[in-house]
Amino acid sequence: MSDVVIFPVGKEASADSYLAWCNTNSPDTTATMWYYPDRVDKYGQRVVAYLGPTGFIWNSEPYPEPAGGVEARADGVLNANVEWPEEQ
Amino acid sequence: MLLTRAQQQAAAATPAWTPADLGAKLITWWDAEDLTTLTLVGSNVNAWRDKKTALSLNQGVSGSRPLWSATSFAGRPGIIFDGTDDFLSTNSIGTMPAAAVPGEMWALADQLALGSDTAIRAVADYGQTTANGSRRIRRVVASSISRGNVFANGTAATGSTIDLYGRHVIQGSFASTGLKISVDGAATETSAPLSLSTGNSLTSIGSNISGLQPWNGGINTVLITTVLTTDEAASLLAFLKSRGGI
Repeated sequence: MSDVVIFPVGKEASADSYLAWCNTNSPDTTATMWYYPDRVDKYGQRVVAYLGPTGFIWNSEPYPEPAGGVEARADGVLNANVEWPEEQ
Repeated sequence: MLLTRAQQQAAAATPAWTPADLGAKLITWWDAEDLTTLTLVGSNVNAWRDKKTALSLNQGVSGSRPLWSATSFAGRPGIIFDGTDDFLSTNSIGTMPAAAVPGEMWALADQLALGSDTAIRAVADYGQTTANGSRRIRRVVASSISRGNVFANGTAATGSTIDLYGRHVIQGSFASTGLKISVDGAATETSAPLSLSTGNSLTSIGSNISGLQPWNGGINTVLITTVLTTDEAASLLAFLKSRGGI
């Protein structure tokens, strides 16, 4: 599974900031955006896909995290598992 | 038995069966082995078009694009869904059966979530997001074992005798007389009758139509058909099992 960055409740602005950073630093210029701005897990925490080697494959290779990535996601937690809202 | 020259020539001239031989019963066919139906950026899938009607399932968000590989599916082409958030979708169901019209959904898929992962994971889904208004084939977990499952309108049927880990042919049949799940032509279970009434606004492969229940593993083929005869289903099953090395 691909890693994501999960931002605790109350850190939504940090999630928005990280998403904006990813939009700027993603190598994929064909996409409309890096990630959905409204994805939340079952606990109401914002989820943003991780722009880094365990989160994104680019040209068949794990993509190195661009400079500034660690700082940009400092308020979030890198996680391999997301508990999405439950649906039947 | 030795064949005559004429018989040998006839056998050599007979093309192999494909889902196209279902004719009008084949409604949509997404085939990861047909590169002409895929739009890739490097190995990332932007769009996957069905071979029958060109219904295109898309993903414009980088972090949710699955990956295509020429060898990921038993040495054959396949699309890999990360089990986190990858899916392809569109705001249409094209000409696929809806409301109470019976139909079938088939997939050749590689399911990689372990039994300790209890999340429901959808191979394909189409309909609408109002409560239970879609037709879905998926993986569920029972007693720590992955099972094939068919779902619509709050009703489900689960195959109980085949562990869904690895490559399998998953078939869901939808009719008001009951939903039926079949895995590799076996593990068949049928639900009670239901008021089948599914919508016509969304289609997704690799997740449910809300982009949740993400598939973990590969998908080689997804087809939607009308109700097949026993012989037609057997031919399609054989085609898919051969591809999957099952």
